Amino acid sequence: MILPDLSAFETDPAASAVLGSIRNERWRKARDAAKELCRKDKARYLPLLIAANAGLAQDLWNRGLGQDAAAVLEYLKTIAPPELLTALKARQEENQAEVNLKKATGGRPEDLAAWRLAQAAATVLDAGGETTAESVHAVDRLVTASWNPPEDTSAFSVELRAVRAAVQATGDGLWEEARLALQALPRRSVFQHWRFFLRGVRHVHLGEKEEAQRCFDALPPHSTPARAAAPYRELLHLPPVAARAPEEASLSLLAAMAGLPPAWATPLVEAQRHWKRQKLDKAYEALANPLRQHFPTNDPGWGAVLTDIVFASRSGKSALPHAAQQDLVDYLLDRYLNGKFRSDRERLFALRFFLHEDQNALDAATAEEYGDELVKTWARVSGPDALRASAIWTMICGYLQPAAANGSLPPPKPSEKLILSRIHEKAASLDPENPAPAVRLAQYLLSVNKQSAYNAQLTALGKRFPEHKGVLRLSAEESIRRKSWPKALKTLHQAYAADPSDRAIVELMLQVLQAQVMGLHSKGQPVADTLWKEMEPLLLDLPTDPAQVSDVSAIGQSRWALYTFQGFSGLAGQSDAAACLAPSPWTHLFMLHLVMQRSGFLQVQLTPDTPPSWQDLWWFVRLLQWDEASHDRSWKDQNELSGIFRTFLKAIKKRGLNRDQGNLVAAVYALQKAFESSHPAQSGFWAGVVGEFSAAMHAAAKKNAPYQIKFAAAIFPADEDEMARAVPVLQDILAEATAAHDGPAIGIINHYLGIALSRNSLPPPDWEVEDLPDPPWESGNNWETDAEGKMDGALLFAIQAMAAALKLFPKSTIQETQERFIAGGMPPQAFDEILVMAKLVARTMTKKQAREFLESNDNTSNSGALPPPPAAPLPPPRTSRKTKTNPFHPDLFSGL
Amino acid sequence: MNPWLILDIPAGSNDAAIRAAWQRAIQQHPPERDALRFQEVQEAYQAIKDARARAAWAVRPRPAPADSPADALLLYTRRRPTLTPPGAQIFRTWLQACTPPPDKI
Repeated sequence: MILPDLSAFETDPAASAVLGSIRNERWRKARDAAKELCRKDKARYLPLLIAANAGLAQDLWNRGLGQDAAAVLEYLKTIAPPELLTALKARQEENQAEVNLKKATGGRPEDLAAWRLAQAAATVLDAGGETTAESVHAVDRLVTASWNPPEDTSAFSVELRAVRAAVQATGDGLWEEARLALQALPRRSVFQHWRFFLRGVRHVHLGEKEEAQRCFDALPPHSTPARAAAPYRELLHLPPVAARAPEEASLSLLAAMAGLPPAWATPLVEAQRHWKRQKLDKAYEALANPLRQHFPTNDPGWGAVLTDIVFASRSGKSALPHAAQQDLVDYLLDRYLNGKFRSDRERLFALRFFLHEDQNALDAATAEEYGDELVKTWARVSGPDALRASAIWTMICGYLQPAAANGSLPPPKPSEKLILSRIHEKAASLDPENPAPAVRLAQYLLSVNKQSAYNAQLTALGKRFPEHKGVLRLSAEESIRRKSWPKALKTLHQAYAADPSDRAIVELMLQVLQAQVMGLHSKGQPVADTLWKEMEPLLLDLPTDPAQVSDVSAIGQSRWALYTFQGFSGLAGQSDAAACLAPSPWTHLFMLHLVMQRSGFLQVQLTPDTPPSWQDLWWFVRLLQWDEASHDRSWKDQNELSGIFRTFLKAIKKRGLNRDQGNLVAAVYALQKAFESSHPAQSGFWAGVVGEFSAAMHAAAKKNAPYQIKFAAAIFPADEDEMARAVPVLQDILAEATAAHDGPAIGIINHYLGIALSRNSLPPPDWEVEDLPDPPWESGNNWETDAEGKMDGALLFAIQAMAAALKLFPKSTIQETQERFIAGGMPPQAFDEILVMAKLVARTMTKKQAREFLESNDNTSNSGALPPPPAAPLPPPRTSRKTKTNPFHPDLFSGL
Repeated sequence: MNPWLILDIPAGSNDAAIRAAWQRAIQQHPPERDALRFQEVQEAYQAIKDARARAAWAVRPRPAPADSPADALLLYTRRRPTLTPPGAQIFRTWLQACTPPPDKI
């Protein structure tokens, strides 16, 4: 309490009552008593009256009775000395501020505490001290508070109001207003970090990245501005800071900054929540319901971006597991089948999604059905468009052709051929000015042996699009088929001029030139230098690391391959040049053999003096893949190649299998991939190679063997028990690889562990090509005793017999088997399906198992529903004819 | 990313408008300054440069532009030629969301 000095009245008995009332803060009673005394002796007792009124005024302030207090103060002005009045005025302001603050905060203790802490920090800072984390947080609470600060004139309040005004202006993009507001802050202020933040935000909006970064980097790490700056930093690709921003709230901010309507924010937050839980169907629903006019859509904008995410191709980037994506497929399928789509647009996107999702398992009839519905639905949504319809049919042609070409589906039946023709013709006729679908139609006609229709199409294409690359290439391929080399080369030069970056054309040119050389050789005529020189600029230099050879066709276009070929053709020095270009002596030796088999030249002497390595094996696989892709080898040639492989393995064994282990894992991977992706017609060869390799690895995979060899054994299981044990074995191997910090191997092992885990959890086998069950000796499933009878004994027998035949006998014998099966009562269409199954089964069947199967069933031909395949003799060992005429093979490798 | 967004052009624009947008974009992102962005612009133009290309683009499957809707929004916002001020209310709400209560410090 601010009161005048009353010590002079302590001994005055007349003043004792007044003093007692003042001590007890009974101000009105004291004032009335003092008035009485003043009437008697004003000069002496006036200080008592002043004290009573001063006390009363302060009491009234404390109770929030400002007006009453002001009246008392007015009276005091007539009797009190100026110094007392000044002191009372200061107290009045202080009290008013407190009252205002309580009013502003609603009296919440945490807000009052924040205010006091921040204000104290400001005082400390003014005195040259530093702020603390707590005071920074208190300041942040005041800036972001939903209540308005009291309108007093203290420096702290003025600064706070300035910062809040700047926040308001920054939010509205009023940069100049915000800048002027921030000018009110002194150089040293508890709000300094807010000045940096708001400046940074302004720089982000003005596209000034460096300036924004400088501002954001200056923020206290755990302050509100540091958190709030996080999405801005992400926008600018700046590294994140320790303070984490709330993700969901940041979506609303980003949506607003991207100019999206406020109505988008809530569905987006909801969708993101479901997405994180991997509930794609729920995420779809969260978006499609409230945003039905904008999602899904093809119109550019945020809706299209969301559409691209939700309906993303599975082959594209996706962090979600397959099962989560399957949930969305199932959900959409349910809506499709039950007619629950909200609009044709939604139906359109679902149809397009289904078509892409099923692309690897489409049959012609289903594809046509999808296509028709998609074209019609799209026409309803956006109006008819012939170009778009043509694009749809072209895409469907693209989906159907690879499946037919790589043998993953049986060859088309006559009824399917009709549909396929129709689809190709629709694609071509709807966009007659586009040569691409017409070229595809021509290719299709050729693939189904409709030679006359193909010729007519090719002639028509040549007239309409004489300079189109695809047409020229088609024409060149036709010339190549007819061995009309000069014409083919001329046409290819034209195609090359149209697109010099197309390596497929270059590859064809090289093929033609090489074929010309071989033709001259076969006639005993010399090869002109110009022919070789013509090849030179078309050649590629191969990397020495087989991992970098992603496209095996590059091998055929490499200097190494061509110089090897030239060396055979007697071109001086080219053999040595080829040997220098080869990644290793052993790979060169293998290349020599491949080229030799192609060209028929059988004279080479080369004795590598370096030990064989897994890197060499890896190259062997690459070379074999190239050879397989570009050359249709005879059964005998394939056997020779696998013979070389065996010899090579023996050499590595002799050297010690555990050498060069790092590349063993990569070589195993390459071998397995080659095996998986090989053409069914060649799978017998790869099965042989893999069988040899697998046997070698199993023999070596002892308890203490290096993990690389154990991995190789696990990847190529010898029997069904091995496969059943694959998961724990791979887990142990993975642990060893992890302990060895073998990064690349960990990646590969993890990949196969994933496959093994998914196999273990496969549903019961179903009789569909795309969901093939594991063969009985791999999975332990006994199809014959299946309670549901999904596969009867005769069918199982047929598949096993065919697999065994594929394993042991040449193609001609398979033809005989087919005839016998059909003669035994099997419908011809069923044979194709059995063949597909048998090819898969043969992949995991060893020759020993195949022999045992055939031997054990030799007497069952009359008891079963179908006859077994003919008991043809095993292929004879290689004749000595080639050995004699070809000292290079296998003697070349016998030196190992 | 959607080629219309990359070229920042409304759907249904004609060939000339698309070409003009492409030329503008490659001037803004020349290859010597940002090779990746330049490549992206080129691919976007190839995808929608004429009616046939646009039809093919609309039909074919597309990879996801990001891992989640939130990532996509960030990508989309980055691609905006200008950022819209969020508005005082949203901005303040955002700042409040970034301010932990006293008991969470």
